[in-house]
Amino acid sequence: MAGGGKNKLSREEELLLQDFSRNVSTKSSALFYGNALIVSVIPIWLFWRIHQMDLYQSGIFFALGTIVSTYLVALAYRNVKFILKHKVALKREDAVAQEMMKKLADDKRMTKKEKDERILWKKNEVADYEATTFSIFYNNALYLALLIVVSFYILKNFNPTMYP
Amino acid sequence: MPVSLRECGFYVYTPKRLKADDKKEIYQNDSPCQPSAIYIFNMASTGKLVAIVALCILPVIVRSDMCLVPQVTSQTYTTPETTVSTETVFIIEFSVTCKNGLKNMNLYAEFAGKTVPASKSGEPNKYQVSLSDEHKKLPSGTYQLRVFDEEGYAWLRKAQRSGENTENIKPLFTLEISHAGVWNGPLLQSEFVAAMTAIFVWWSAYTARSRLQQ
Repeated sequence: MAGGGKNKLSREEELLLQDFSRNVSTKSSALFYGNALIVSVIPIWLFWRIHQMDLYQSGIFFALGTIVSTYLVALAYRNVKFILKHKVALKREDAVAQEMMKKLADDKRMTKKEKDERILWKKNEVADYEATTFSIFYNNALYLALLIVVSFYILKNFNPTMYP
Repeated sequence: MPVSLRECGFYVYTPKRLKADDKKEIYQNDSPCQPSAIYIFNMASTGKLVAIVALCILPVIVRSDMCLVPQVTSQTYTTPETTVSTETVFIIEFSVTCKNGLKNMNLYAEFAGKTVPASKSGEPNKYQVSLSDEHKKLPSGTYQLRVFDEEGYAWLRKAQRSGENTENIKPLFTLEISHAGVWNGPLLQSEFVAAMTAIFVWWSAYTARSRLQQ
């Protein structure tokens, strides 16, 4: 291991680890779960107002469905983000580096290593942000498209009130 | 010798042939029983009375089951759209007021060759006729509903049995049904539009993702 001490990782290594890890920050996690909850709650309106399901009678299904769906959608956000982050980082690498170099060009005191670190950090930030937002968008679109198609066409003749 | 009717019991007419000459035969009643003048008078007066009473009552009896100058008010319902029913339904509710105050008649409706009895509703002289057929067979337009009383219905049945033209049979009255046609719903179902939009959004997201992953 490079850096000082056996258990201590350098900042660069930490950044690198963070870059490759599947774990997301608390802020990102909150964003994922918040979004997943909103997306999972929306279908209740469809079931209640359009499919004429009783809100109280089916309340337990709605609650359970929302909880399970929130967890799964958040999981999907995380997975898609993980896959996309590196791709985004690769795509934006040059542009971010160029922009950062332009920004830091005036700063004569900064060493090259520090500049590179800044660029790496910025690259990570940009990739993280873009991957997060794109992951939310992609999964929401897929979830809602699947929900509409399944509830209106595939389960068209499925009526839970038929056998009370 | 005159005999009273009571003695005679009944009037017997036994003509006796008398030969007056060769050509003619003359009959003469030789019965001793002759109908008395009072009896004849009584019979005649009773007959007249019956006739007069009959003449007075007859029109009433004959006319009692015929509605004179029917005044009809009607309400019509026709199916407005296909989404709510599998067939086009016409419901015609009408009330009939006869000049001669006739009530509780049995009425029959004829519509496009089919006859149906008009059902009486709770209120007096209020009737209802329901007809239904496939959407295609009842396009928009004005239809004639001919309503017959029992006599007219009998004529109608007779004409139908013998395969005659029923157009000439005069109905009690005719009702017009104007049907605006059925609405087949929007050309595109809203769920189809929603599904297509959702699929399009997902597809654009998918292509963007593919482009990123290249």
